[in-house]
Amino acid sequence: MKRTLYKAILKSRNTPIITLSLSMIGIYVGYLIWYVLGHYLPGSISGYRVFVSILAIWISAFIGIYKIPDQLFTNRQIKDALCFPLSSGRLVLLVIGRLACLQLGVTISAFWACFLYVISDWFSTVTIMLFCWIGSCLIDLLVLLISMAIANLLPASIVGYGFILLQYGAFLLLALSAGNLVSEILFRPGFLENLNKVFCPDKWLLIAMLVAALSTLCAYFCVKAGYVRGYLNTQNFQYRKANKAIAPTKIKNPYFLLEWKRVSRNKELIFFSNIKNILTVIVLCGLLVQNFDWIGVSERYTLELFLLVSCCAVNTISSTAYSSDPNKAYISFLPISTHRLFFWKTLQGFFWGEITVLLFWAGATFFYGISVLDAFLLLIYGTIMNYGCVWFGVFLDYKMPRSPNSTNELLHGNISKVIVLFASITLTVGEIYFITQINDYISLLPFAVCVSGCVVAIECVYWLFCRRSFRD
Amino acid sequence: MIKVKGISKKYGNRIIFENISCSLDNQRIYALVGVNGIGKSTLLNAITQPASMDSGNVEIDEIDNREFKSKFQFFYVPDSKEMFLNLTGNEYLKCIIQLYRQNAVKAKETLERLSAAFKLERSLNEYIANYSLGMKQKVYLIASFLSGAGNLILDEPFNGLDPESVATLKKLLIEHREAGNLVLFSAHNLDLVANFCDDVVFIDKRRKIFQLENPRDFAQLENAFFQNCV
Repeated sequence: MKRTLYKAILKSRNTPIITLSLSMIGIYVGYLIWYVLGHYLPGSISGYRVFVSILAIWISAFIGIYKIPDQLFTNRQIKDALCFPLSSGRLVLLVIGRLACLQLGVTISAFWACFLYVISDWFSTVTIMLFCWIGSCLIDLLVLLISMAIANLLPASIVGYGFILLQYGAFLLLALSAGNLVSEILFRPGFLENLNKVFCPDKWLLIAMLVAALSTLCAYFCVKAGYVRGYLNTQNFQYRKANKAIAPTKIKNPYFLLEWKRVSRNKELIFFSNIKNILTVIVLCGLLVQNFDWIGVSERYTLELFLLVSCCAVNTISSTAYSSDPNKAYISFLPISTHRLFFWKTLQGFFWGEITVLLFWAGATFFYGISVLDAFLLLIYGTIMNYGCVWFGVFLDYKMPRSPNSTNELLHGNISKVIVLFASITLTVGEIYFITQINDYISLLPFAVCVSGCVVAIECVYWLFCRRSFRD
Repeated sequence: MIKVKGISKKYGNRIIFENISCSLDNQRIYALVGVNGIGKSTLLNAITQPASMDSGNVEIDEIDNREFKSKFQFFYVPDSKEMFLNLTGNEYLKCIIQLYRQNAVKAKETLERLSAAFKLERSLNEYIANYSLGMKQKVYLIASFLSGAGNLILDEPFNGLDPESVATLKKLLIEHREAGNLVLFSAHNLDLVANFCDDVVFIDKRRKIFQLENPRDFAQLENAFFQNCV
């Protein structure tokens, strides 16, 4: 019964294979963490248990912040379930209970390998694990209470923005605090020892249990009093009707109209993907510079090229051009040329991707004091690579088997994004390698512009002459 | 005119159709009738989307439906009412006018006439996502008339419509037939079928197609349905 209800309300399609795969990944990651801690970091391995528990709580908190508002407040399916003789407490318990199970899995995955290294002090490890799990549940209850407050106190016209602020604000806060903490632990001598001294597992577990009991009581009464009202208030934000008539569109081209509306009406896609892209670009660029210094990052404009290629490669709008199009199923019986539609999808992705490219290009030009000619070349490179990556992303999304009803994010454009990322970075690394290791006569920037121009030319020729690949 | 020649369709090992054929002429209104799950929507999908059938071929106004230009000869309203929810009613209808290459001035007049007939003028500037089921149905039906396509293929077009809109739709479909065109619609309501269409296309219990001129008598039609389809 519980499983059926969970399936109906959350459209969950978790199969044993997915659960097993996730468990295997968790077990492997857990082992990897302790292996790295045991072999590459100084000091006693038992001293890192607090550090791992903080990491596990961080992951669990991220899951809670992402899932609770999504599953309990913005979820449309609950509206249908409200007609059934189902109490609000049971609904909330169903979601929170599943979440707690998932977080228990995260905790076990994070700590199981600890027992391979710390055999003597297992009682203390179990206490830390329990603290870690109860701490995660406590965060869930806190997120639930904050979500209840947002849903009940904010008017329907802005309640959705409240949730966006909660999810992204908390995510950024978590990312920032976790990043700071990890760097402090790894690079500040004595920090971990002090942390271990402050953290007394038994006492902290007791405190966590007491706070959790109080929070559960508080959450129980709050849910009883205002969950349904808050939920309906949130639903009114999503489906409220516009008071004023929507201005008629000036777009004449039907292909452009379909594509423009597909993206611009999906505010979640624009807002979330752009924030995610900016964060990804910063992280990715740092990783690329660190890992490819063997090819000569000292070469002028290497960093800028990595920055721009990262911007171009993480374009969500292109890599989900078909898989996120709800109208895709209806296109087959309308006189819509898939060949032309492909072109407009690439233009749409190009437009949105160019915003990120321009943003980072302007930043790079301003901060590094690049000459006018080179700045212009960089812009040309970014723009051409942007179209090249967008074309490839849309093409992969078109060719890959895809299901519009799939709830699995991995099957929803992310695979094509990873392939685009891999291909574009390989190309850039190849360009840099060619200039630094093989050829000393041509400078990097004009060479990269020429290569990316050739790539785009090949793509355009393919689109023009291989119409069968975009069959009508 | 629609000619279905020997089409077959399987879902895994389950055979939906095997080598079925039929011919539908212009100036007729056809009702497609069969029990739930027998393959009415599958047949309509086979006519409108060649990729959805395993073998056989379909000609629409003597053009093979695998050719792109055949798409201008028909308009299909599927049973799912979740199409183009991200457009306003006006945007969707204008998009259809452009896709089907209709004369803008003439189509605008038709749009005004049809939206008034279906009492939808005030709602056309709202997103289709905000429409009720009946309003969605109306906007897709208006699109079918605006497309200028000769063959209208409608999957349960009367669902969700109020009695006034049912009468309007019947009138418009009859006008469409009188203009020398074809209408094929699926329905479950035998009463409506008996009183409205010219011919009835049954999908029987062996998943074969047989056609019958409408006897205009409910009892007779019901008898034919229970004898062959159930």
